[in-house]
Amino acid sequence: MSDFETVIGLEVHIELQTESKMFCSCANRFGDPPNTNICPVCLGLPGALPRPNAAGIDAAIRMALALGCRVAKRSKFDRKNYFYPDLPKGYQISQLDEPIGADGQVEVPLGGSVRILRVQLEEDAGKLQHEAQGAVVDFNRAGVPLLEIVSAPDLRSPQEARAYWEEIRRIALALGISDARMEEGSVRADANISLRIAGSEELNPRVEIKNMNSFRFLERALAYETERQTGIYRQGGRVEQETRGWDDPRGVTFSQRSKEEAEDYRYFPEPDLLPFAIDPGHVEELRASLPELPARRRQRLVALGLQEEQVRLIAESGGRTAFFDGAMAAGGDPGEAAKWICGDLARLENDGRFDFGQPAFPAAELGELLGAVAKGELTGPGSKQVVQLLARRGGTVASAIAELGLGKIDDLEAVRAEVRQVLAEQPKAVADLAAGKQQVMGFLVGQVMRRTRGRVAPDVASRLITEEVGQ
Amino acid sequence: MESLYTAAARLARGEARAEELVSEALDRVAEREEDLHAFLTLLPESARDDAKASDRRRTAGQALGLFDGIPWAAKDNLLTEGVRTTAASKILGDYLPPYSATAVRRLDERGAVLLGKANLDEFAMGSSTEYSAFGPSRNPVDPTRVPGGSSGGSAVAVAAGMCQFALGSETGGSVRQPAAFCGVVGVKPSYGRVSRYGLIAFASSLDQIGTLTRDVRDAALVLGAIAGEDPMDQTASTVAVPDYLAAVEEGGRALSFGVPAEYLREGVAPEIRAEVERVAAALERDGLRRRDVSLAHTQYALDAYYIIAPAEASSNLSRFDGMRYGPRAEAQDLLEAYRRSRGQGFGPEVKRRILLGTYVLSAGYYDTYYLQAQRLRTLLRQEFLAAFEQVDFLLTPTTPTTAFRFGENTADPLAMYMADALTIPANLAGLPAISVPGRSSQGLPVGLQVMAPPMREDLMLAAAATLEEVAAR
Repeated sequence: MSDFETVIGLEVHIELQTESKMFCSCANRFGDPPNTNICPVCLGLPGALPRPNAAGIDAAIRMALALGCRVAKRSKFDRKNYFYPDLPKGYQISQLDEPIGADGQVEVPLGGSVRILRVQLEEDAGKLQHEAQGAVVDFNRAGVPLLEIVSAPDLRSPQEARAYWEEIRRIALALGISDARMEEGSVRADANISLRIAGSEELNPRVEIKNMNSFRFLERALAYETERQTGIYRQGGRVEQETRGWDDPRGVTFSQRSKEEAEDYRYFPEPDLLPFAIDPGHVEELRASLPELPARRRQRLVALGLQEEQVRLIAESGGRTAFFDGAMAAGGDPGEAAKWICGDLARLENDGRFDFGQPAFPAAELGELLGAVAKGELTGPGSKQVVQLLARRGGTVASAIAELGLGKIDDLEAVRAEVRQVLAEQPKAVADLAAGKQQVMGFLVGQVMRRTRGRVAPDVASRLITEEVGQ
Repeated sequence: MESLYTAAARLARGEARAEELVSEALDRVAEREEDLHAFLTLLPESARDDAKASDRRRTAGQALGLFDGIPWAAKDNLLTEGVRTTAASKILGDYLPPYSATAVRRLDERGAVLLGKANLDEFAMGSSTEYSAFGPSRNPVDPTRVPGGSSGGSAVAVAAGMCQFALGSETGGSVRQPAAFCGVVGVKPSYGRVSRYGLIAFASSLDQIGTLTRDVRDAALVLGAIAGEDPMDQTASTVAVPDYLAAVEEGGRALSFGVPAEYLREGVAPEIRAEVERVAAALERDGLRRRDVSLAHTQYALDAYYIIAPAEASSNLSRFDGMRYGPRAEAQDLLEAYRRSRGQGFGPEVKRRILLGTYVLSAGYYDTYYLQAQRLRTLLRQEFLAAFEQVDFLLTPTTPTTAFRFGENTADPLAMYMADALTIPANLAGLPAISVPGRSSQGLPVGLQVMAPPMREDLMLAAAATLEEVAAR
């Protein structure tokens, strides 16, 4: 029996982080009390008219550029008509045939090259919530600018689809056009999936899985759908073109709408908004101001010899990358800097005690720290204490070393005196060590560290312990 | 009743007080409203209060200008903050808008006194006010006849002397046609000349707020007050508003004009044709140059209009779903809630146009209908612009017939649509156009239409002022 190939295309929706909504001046802010950021325009009251937010258009152009798209010289908005209680006007202002960006391409880690068909600007709908007394709608989200990024059906597995989506999200973050918070629904995706005989070019009826808001859901839903469609074909059946939803608790997709029931959106040009020209000069200005994108970042970090996991961790955050670059500029070793950023500092960040975006101490101080360790002025354990202090209070490495009294004890005889003191206090451990139990060495070194507050290099302590016990 | 200009002059000279003007207007309403039904909402108390406030301002030397204290009426599809606005539809119920239309606000700021909200065909869809959900208005010249529509109530209020001026709205002739039927002056400005913010949308690419006044000079005054750019409406033009009053005073004797033959063909009543020819000849005698022009695409205008307008309307009216305002019908599920709320809320003509619009925008039909209609619209506009290379303005009848009787056209939608055949081209091309009363025929008013190049309201008003004078001879 021949093998099937999975054909997947993704429509990724990203809410833009503009000050105001796309077509009115209401605040674009998540988490405010329901229906507080609303006005006649985003509520779709009679007589209200939209007016476009230039910041939204610029963000769309920047995304289009980042994805290697051709930016339209002339663009326009269209109306997509359908009824739903969260859609105040009975139509969504979207783009049909003149999107801001088209024909791009993005390199996905492990996924190869994925073509981008279009980058279009539209408005989000309100949020329908089901409560005890019935359904209620919060219109704070209605009119929030939304980018839709449509890929070609170039993805060949659920894993690739996920990697692609993650990369799009990283690019949006790098551009600073969205906070891209999955848990707030500011990034969502619809997936189109079909199967075909491997190597063939035919396209079979596809299933659209709507409105997923987590990478894991996407991967699971696509894996399930691959299995389901494979099963149908193996039994000689036909896959129906339809829209399906993902039921995560049950781990299945379920039919929502058949092809016959598919909506006819009756698109037509939005007559309340003028078609607009996009000045090529302005596009070039935006292109020049693009930050380093994640793919380029990763290449650079790999070239510096970092490990795969370090590259991933650092490159996915603009703050971490900037911090890394700052430490490099101050003369730090790339590998050592990466260890700190992906180790102690990442843990501090996870605990909410450090923010790479607004670091408590300048990255250059990490460079200083690495230099001090390399020169033997500071021990490994001492450096940890310095970093903790800097993360808590800021300041410089020099001042932290002085404050903590961490200057390394270089005088061998002074160290030996400390070692002897420890050995005198730990007769049992000494006896064990003398009997060949090497496991207690770590304990004894630790005791030396404690006594000296980390001012002795552990290898020196270990050597002296061996000498002393051996005598 | 005197014109806005005269009333304003008397107020300015201290010969009249706003309170008197408003009282007279309300007396007139009390006398005739029962027969004519011009209004859907009357505001006697707030009008009297506003008038008193106006008089106090004037006494204190702080009058807000020419409009301060002048009573007026707004078509009930123009939003008025805190004042019931229905668009003559049950689906809006007792809707109280939280804001006023830009045009309304501009008159408020000038101290004009809003007397009430005028009747119209539901959502401005109709040519007689017979499609108002709250009953038709009647023509003051002959109450057995329709006043025209959709801005019928506005035209009646001005024609019957209930107020000095009124605002209406146009999509395909809804100001000019009732102006012609009732014997007043009606202006449809160029698309974009007046902000549409706060006008309940019918067809966004055609809609425009217009004026109904006693004469051309008043039209210049009102248009000057409401025209101009508005940050709330991107389609409102940023072109500066010229001094329209100066244009009226200058008149149109130095202008050239054309009478396109396509506007005098079959379907146009002989006595109306005769009136246009009479006035054209009189203009020529007064020194205006006449050149023949042809507008061959006129014959397709009605077809294009009845694709574009319903298409946009079907989308614009989607928001009336019973969810956020207006009555919501009891229902078991969402689809039923939509069906019932809209089914009970909309009247027959509105439903007809929503169906028509939904059909022409459907997948597979878009190119055949909507796109084709837009192409035709472009051709029509180009043809007009070419004609305006030849002549300064065009003179045509406003309507093919004089005011018809109630029920005469309600059984045949197409016959009703024909009432707008001569006005629709200006909407499609975005031109300014005005209807000025000619000599009545068998006691019924006849409207003469002047069309001018886009954004040349000054030229249109200058021509209309001369036409008004010549036609009255």
